Amino acid sequence: MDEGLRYIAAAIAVGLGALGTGWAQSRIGSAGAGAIAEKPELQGIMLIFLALPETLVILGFVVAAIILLVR
Amino acid sequence: MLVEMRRVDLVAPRRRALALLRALHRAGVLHLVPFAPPPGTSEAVFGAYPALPGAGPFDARLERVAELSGILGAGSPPTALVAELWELDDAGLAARVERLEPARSRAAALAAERVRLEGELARLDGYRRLVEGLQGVVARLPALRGYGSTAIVVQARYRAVIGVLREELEELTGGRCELIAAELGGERVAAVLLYPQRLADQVRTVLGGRDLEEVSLPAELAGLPFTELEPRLAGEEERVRDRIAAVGSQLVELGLAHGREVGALELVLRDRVAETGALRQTGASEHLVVVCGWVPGARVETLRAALVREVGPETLVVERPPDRAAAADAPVAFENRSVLRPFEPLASFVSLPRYGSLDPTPFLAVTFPVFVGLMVGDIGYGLILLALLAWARRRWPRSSLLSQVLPIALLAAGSTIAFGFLFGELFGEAGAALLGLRPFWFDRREAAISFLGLAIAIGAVQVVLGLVLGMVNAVLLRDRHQLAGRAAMLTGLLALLVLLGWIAGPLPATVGYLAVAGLAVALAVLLVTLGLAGPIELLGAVGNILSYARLMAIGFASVMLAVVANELGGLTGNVLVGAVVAVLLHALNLVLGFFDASIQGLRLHYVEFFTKFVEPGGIRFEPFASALVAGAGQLRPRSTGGR
Repeated sequence: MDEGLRYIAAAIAVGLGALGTGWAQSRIGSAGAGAIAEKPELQGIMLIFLALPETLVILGFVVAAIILLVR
Repeated sequence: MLVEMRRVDLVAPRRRALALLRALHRAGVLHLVPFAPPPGTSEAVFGAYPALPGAGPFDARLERVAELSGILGAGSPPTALVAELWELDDAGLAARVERLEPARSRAAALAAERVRLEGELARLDGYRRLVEGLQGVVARLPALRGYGSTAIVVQARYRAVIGVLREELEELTGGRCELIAAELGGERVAAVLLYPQRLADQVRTVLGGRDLEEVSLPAELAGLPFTELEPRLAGEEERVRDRIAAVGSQLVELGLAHGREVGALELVLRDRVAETGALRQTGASEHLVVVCGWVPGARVETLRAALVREVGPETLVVERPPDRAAAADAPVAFENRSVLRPFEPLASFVSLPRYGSLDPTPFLAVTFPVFVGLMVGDIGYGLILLALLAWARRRWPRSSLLSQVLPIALLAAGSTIAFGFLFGELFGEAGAALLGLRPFWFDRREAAISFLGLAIAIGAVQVVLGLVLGMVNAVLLRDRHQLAGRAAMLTGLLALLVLLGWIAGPLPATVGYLAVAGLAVALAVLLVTLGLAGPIELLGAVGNILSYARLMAIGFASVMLAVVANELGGLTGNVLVGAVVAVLLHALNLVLGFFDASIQGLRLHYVEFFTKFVEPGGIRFEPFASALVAGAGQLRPRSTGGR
């Protein structure tokens, strides 16, 4: 039972992080595409903005790894 | 490193203003800035150079040559020809442009004829489609003497208008009319109206108010029996196509005869127009002209000698003393060793570092290939990348993009092979199974915790290094506020790391208490220097370190995908099918691996590392350089002048 709960917890940690990242990137990506169409020189900074939410899923991954691997 | 720049004022007799700009253009080392009076001079004496009346002497000529160049598609002209034309005086250059006038007139006439013929071809094509569409309709029309006909075309979505027209036509003609419609390829509907000839004007009035496309054939085809129209139209199309081809070959001949000269003249005329335009940025007194700008420190003496030689011994190059306020406007140029140079565009992709700060290029050049290697880490993938790069080099030997990417990709491939040996991976675990390959360091599939720890440790080192470099930058830019903020951030971060070590057990209590004290001081300084955002930024730095876990996550995903490729290949039960499945999955992993690893590697630098020390807002060094100086913005390494 405990083992199963650990797996579910790890999946939630990564899954919710991935959902959050995807949702944030979709919003940033569409806004960024519009901004770059107006000002192509913004592409560098938009790449940064687009990459920022990835930290969410990485942190989720770290939590999942700790749940699964640290006993 | 970033090139040291000197702010200079170049002074020459006013009558030699254009000669001065021409010499500067040839030298290609001055980043022009609009005239500002040198310190100690009165604006009553020096003012902006008076505006020239009307357009410059070469503006109209450039327009004509550029038009000809556009028609002929002139490519890159030979350097020797550009140099020869560049040395001509104004009269000589104007004569060369005039000599091209007959060719320009002919090319313009041919281009106009080509446009007309292409329009005619499109029109004939439209008629042919229409005639094909109406073929069936016309066959059903009764042949009546004294009756006229009109063909119309409407968009399919407005087909309802045909019903309205039928009603109006019947009312107008008392029922002595016919209207037959047919679909034209689904998007348009064609209709033929048959009505008494004497009512033609009234019918036109009915049609006129509805913005309908009335189809009328060209005069030479009018009156032909409908059955003869299609072959005649096909014949006309053939004739126009032949003429277009003939015009095209005449233009090619013109291009072969004059293309190189036109291309060279266009470059040289652009330079002359730029020189006249640059006059507007200069300053002038009654007798002198002053050009202001920035020159790389190592090039000042060369420029001085060139100006004395070309403009005259009375030309002065006056260096302004170093000034912190003025340095904020200094342009930024990179000057790195050839191995680092391909990384310069990546280092300045997000923002150019400010003049006087540290150049992030060497740091990126060291750690980016390492990160890619750490994430992909497979001997087989590295060797395939090397083979692909060798093939691409032979396939596109002159591609400038490839030349730029190749050194970076080679380093990434080398790093991937090296980490492949360390992790004992050759196409996943295939190397171990087939060749008995063993990891020199650790097996990524088994030692997940060690791998995660390594990734986070790399993050801690790079973020701490970033903060240290940030302090160095603050010292270089003499910014005490930034220095205090970054020192506090560094202290706070180190204190947090020590605290973690203490809580985890291995560190003694005294060290832990010291860490608590250090953290308290750091938080206080952060509150003073950055306000409430300070402590949040400290937490952000911890997040930055954890973000390096992606090195492990992507590496782990890469090795597991390779394992899956081998396993799936083995499950098929057929050697050939298994090999195809394995190759496809390994190819997918290879592409995904290198692409994702590159993006994530760059992101770690841009977001986690560079934000700790790179001072953004630099102005790119764009020298006033002529066509004679190719790639003037890219300075080559010299023994002096760097910082």
